[in-house]
Amino acid sequence: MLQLSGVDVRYGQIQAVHSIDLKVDAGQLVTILGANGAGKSSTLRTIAGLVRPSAGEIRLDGVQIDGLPPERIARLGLSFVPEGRGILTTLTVEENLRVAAIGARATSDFDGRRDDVFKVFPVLGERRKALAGLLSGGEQQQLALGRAMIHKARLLLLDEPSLGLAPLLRDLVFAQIVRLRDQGATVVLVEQDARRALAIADWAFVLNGGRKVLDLPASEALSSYRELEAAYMGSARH
Amino acid sequence: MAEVLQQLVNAVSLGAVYALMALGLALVYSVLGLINFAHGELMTIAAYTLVFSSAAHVPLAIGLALAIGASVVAAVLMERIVFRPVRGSGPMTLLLTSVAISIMIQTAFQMLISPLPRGADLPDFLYQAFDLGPVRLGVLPLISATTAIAGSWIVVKALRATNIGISIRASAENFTITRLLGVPAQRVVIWTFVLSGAVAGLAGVIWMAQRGSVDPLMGSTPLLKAFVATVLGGLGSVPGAILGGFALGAAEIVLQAFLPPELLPFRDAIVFALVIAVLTVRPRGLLPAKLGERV
Repeated sequence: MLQLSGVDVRYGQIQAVHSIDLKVDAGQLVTILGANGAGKSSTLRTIAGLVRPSAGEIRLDGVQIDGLPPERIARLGLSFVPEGRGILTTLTVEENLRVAAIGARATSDFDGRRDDVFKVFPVLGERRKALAGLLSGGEQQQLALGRAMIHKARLLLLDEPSLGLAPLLRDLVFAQIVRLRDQGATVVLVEQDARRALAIADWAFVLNGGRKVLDLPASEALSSYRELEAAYMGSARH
Repeated sequence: MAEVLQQLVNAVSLGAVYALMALGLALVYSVLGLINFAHGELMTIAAYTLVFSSAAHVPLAIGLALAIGASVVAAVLMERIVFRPVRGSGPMTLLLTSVAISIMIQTAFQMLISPLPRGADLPDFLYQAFDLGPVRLGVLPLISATTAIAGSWIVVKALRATNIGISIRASAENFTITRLLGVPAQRVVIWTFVLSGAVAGLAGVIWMAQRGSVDPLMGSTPLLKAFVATVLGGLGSVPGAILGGFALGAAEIVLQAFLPPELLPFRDAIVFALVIAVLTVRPRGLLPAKLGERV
């Protein structure tokens, strides 16, 4: 589904990602772990087309996507929810969903898809006419996932979806991530709550200093989590 | 009372035209961070098109359509040829680019057409007036105000209710997020220029009809007023631009009517001083554009 080979990412003089290889199979939920600054967000932003890799290539279902503009990559079926959720605060809840439908060229099917989102996240239906900037953090995260649902993305990249959410809302967000995977989406999850991410993931990649250091089934990572945390996530404790 | 009503009509009429011009500037600024100083030349292009088509005995309605069409085409070409190569550059580059293209178009008019004003051969009824109770209404100010208000209203409505309008508003808040959702950046930018060209064209023919002629520098004064109106209303905010336009029009009319004659030459200076006073209290304008989260 998604394949990165030898990807380097540079911001000017600073190299954030060193020759990373990743392979994600269709239908999998994988999580990328690592301390702050390990290169997790840079990797996601590069896959989504916000940053051009300085070396290597990225393929989505065999199609080379590195170098394409973000909207082209999105239209190939990839949906990236950046950290901070990327809500359009001056638009209403429903308009946020409509922008996703416009982007997915699915405006003729919008009403149906929107109602599906409202079924999963009833609070969005209740507040559909409200400005998205007035929603709580949890509601905004639901809206971000709702936009990904409108997109019917085949590949979902989520950067810190549970950051800043109350425990109850985290449960809802994690449940929805699992549901999206069960409905056939492939998910790449970067998550501060690493244990919880591993509990729902199939596979895990561990990054350290911009390099991939481990590539293993999530269950193995979970059973050796203490060692893993001590070795690679020391500075990630909040 | 009649005097106040009369001035109110004048204020609305002038304010509506300023609002229409400011709206076009604000649209482009909101999406691209570009203050298009060549917006005034789009107005001039529309005015020349109408003057030449009326000289060629083209019916007025068709002439108007041609005028607005010419301004739209010019705006789209301007985007393609001039602004696309500098997209994403710093504000100073964008500013100087737009000033440069503005001067180039003015010079082209001077060399290819004539530096002298060219009179408009418009129907006489436009310049008549009639009494409505105590208020004397000019036909042209009335038409100007209604079309300018209608034009602004249509654009505002389109921004709320159409897919392209919603995409423009989304891009104005956060272009990166909008593109991540799959909306093509290029299409949004082109449509923004189409809308801005259309309102510039409409404003251009109204402005030209009011002064009775067009010359190569016709767009300079309205551009300045529109710029002041957008800053007053809140740079990048469409409702702000409209409010700023009406506020500026009202201030000019009030001062024109009530200033002692010896101070009248300083009217614009006083208006701008008032604008500066407002901006010291509200530095981001009357209705600031909200800053979106950046990725």
